[in-house]
Amino acid sequence: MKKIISLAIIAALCTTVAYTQKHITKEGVIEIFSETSLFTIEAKNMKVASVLNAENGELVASTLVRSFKFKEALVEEHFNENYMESHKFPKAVFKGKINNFSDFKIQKDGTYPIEVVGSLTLHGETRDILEKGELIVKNGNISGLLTFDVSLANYKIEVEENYKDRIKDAIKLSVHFDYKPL
Amino acid sequence: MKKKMIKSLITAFAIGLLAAFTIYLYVFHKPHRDVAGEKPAYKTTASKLIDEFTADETTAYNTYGNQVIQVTGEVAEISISSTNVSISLEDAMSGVSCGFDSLSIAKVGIHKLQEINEGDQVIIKGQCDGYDMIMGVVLTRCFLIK
Repeated sequence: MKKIISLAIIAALCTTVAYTQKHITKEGVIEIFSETSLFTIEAKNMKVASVLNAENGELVASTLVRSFKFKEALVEEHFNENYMESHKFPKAVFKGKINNFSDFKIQKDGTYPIEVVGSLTLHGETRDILEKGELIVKNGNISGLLTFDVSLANYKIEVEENYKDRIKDAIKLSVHFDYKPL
Repeated sequence: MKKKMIKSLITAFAIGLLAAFTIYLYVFHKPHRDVAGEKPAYKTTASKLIDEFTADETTAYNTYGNQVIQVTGEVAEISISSTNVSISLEDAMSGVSCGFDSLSIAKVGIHKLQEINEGDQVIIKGQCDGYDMIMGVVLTRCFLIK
């Protein structure tokens, strides 16, 4: 009897572990890239946090605007002060999910195309996004890759008239998360 | 008379060139913030800093945001790669998360960071980027003092 009870408890524990498993990263990377014939903008943020719920595909990612580090110090200053206004809006947050997540058998190693849907908050403005990316599963570890364009005007980020030929409206973001089971 | 004029013309030209070069340097090669050399605006403990941010995030951000601050605390978690070292103080999730990029790793020396263990008491200086719900208080461009 005792054996059965302890077995039942172990079985219950195992299922909760398997089904409420969350995957987390605090060293996620987002790179920014914009290129015109006059000007190239490159920045890297290595302080991006994200949690992926492996039960239902729910996904949260967040970072601080000041953690974007630019090649040129002056561009970093302008980015924070004039464009992102990081003194007023210090954060960038994504809340959403991976579509049809239950279709994936993420226990199996491989590369899976995904569709990420949710809301992105930047510069105090929240917009719905739907982007395609991929999940890579290897030995139970999940990595997420996503590359997409963000329209500055869409988030009310203003570019001065005389800079418009140097900075594109669409800035490319490359996201790379290497999750670990929590 | 003519010689004098030519001389002053050359001087003016040289000064102009120098000014243009300085502006060029300033715009394209302005050095990044040197956290290691900068005097910290605030010295505090990791737990005090966390308390201030959890009590009133906006006020704390207005005080510490973009400032170089020096914190003392216990290492809760450390993760090391050649281009990215992250040390969490007091709590792995909502403590003070200190980021070292390749520049700051080079300044500190990777071996010094590799010697750090969980539970160690350390003093770290870094630029405060704000408070994140998953990482806690974030410091970047960090420099290890002790």
